Amino acid sequence: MGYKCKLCPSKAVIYMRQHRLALCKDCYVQWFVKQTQRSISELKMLRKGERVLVAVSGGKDSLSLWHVLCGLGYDAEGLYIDLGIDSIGYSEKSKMYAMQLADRLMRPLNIVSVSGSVGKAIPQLVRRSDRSPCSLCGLVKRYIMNRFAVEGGFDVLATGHNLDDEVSTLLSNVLHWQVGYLARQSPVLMERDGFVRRIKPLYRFTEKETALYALLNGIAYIEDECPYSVEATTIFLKGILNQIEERMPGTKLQFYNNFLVHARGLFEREQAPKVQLKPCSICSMPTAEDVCAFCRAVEKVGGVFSGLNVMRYNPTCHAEHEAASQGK
Amino acid sequence: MSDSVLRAIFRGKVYEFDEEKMKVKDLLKRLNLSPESTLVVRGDEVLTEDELLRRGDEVRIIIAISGG
Repeated sequence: MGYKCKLCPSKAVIYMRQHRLALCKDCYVQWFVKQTQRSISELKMLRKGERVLVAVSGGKDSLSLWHVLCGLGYDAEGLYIDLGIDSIGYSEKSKMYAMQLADRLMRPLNIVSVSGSVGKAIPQLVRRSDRSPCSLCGLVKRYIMNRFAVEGGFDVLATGHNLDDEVSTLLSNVLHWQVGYLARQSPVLMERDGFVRRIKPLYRFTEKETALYALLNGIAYIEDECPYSVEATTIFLKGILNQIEERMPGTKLQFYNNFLVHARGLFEREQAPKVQLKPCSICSMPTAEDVCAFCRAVEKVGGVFSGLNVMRYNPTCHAEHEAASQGK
Repeated sequence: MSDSVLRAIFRGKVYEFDEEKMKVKDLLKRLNLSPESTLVVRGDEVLTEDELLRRGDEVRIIIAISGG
């Protein structure tokens, strides 16, 4: 019983109904790597030699992305944002997984502390804010990711968004007709003044597919859900979309691809003249307002931005340090 | 360990089933889980939905869905 691999005589580990494709362990890993390169090439996301910063959360998607980009020969460093979420040891555990992969890939991991940068960790910011936890946390992370990438001279910022992330966001944006968000929802956002290029090379893979890549490659990741996102609308929407997918395989991919081909450009053209960027009067990062959303949010909760608090974790030095300690 | 039941470990809890055999997709249905967002692993073997499970098998269910 069970499926056979379409490419060799081995037993399949996955049947992807949207592609009508069953693959064994080895063929799946090769297919995943090839598909990632295909997305990168087709959408001109990244060129060899460009410096790419991979935002890693300790979860399956971002760690798989870092692993696959390094395997493809891209010059990829990691960025871990320490949110300071103590509940269930969430931040400590997720940081440990990011560091473990840094060790394995022998690539530097840059660790930015939220509390070290704005004086308060995410739980303290959330308590004082009227935004939802995911909205506030997303704002803080996007700001830190871009600012770090700009200050570090990176060409590209890569995030591990998968198809389920993109489709649930698209559905939410359509349900509320968030035309500004629809104009900017894309697997590639080209660089412009003050913003590095942002890419999502895993946007064609479902969450199950990225989890399988991590599992087959022995990439340990945090399986716990963020304590703040357990009740998040995103998870509800993903559940609904998976019910649709079970009845109508291929719907998620088609919904997103057709949005990119037929609709996004319309929203982008409609919105473009309305957005004029200027430097934030507090932090100088680009914004459409006098004060950027990040500075407004931090000010509102009594935080003070004092520059990014960065610790660089270099696996080579770390390994040498460990060896020296053991030698004592 | 007894081989009189089929065991599924999911989010730290153990679920036991008396059936002699059951397909992976039926197990997921019993646990109200979507095959679109789960991986089922027996030992070091990842199973597809049509795979047959038998009494004495122990599987681990990995949830792939995440929010935020």
